[in-house]
Amino acid sequence: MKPIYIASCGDYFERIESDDSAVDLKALVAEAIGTPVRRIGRFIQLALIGAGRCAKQAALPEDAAVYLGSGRGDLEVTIEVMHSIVRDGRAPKPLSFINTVSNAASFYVAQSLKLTSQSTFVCNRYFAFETMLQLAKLDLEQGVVTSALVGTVDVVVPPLAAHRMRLGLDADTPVADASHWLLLQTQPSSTPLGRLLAAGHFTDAKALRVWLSDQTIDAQWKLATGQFMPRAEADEWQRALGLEVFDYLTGRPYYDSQSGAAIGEFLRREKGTLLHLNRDPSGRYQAMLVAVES
Amino acid sequence: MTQIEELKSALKALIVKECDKDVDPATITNEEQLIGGALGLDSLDALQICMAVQERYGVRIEDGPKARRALRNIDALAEVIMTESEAFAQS
Repeated sequence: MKPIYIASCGDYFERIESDDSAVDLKALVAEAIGTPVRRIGRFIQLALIGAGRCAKQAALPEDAAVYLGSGRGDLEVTIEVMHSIVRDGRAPKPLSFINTVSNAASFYVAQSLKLTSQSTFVCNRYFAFETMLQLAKLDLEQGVVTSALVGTVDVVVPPLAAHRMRLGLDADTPVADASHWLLLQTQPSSTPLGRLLAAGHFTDAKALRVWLSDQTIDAQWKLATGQFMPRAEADEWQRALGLEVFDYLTGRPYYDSQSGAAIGEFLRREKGTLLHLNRDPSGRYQAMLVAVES
Repeated sequence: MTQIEELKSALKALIVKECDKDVDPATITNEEQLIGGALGLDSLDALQICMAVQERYGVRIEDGPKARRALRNIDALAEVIMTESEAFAQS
């Protein structure tokens, strides 16, 4: 297996307090990628800010592939187009319609960062970041690509009351726009931030336990559990594994792909090895294992 | 300001908004080439402008040659809207 290095990370995260409090992202886009981009909505802007910040931290080869995930895709433009067609009975505007293909965000990331390789977009409600990480890891290990820009984007679409209802959240749940990215490489051109040791999907807890039993778990490892794992179960895993908890979720407003923040936060705040476990309501699991050199 | 001048001002604002351009609408001249000119608009912008004009003024700019003529500049676009609106009103 080829070792996979984390060359850089980049994020954008903003709690949305009220219906009209969202930050104008145009200037941040221009700052992140060096040029303004027009005819794009907030979802694509968020992708460009996160990916651009990540790309700035390391030399980004032009053959880097893009792996973009999201819990629900570009809700903003989808809602706009559906309102045009269904509510107003008119054809949608062309610039909105073309961006309903959520991979449009990958196109803009590739175009803005002058990338020429493949791009992939996957919508996955519960494991968006983990899924993209796993896909990138497979391609990197097989030599399909040597660099992978991996990220997730989730967008808040005001009014907040409607947004929370759409997401099935309580009326007072804080919500946020977010974009989390990593640059993974098999041959980093500079000192990497860390290594991706594993990213795996498990059909049930038994399969996860079998995988964990094959790992040489060190007592110094930290354990983080994802947003969709019930608290009681997270505590059970913590007791069973006997690992100190790395908490990156407390106080974090809701968005679908909070797992995307785990590795970046760990890189910023800790050294050592992080085991991240998440679970969906159907009882499927995802594990991510990363190491940051001490 | 005459009715046609008001229309031209409104069209400039509409183009800037619909095409997401960071320019002051007042800096667009009435004779300036809209598509493929210094304004940097392309065929996708042309489609967006046609849809916005239909939505705002009820004037449908549909076929290629007609759209090319109408989107030559602000003067041409305003003339098409005025003519089509009058034709519609008289029908």
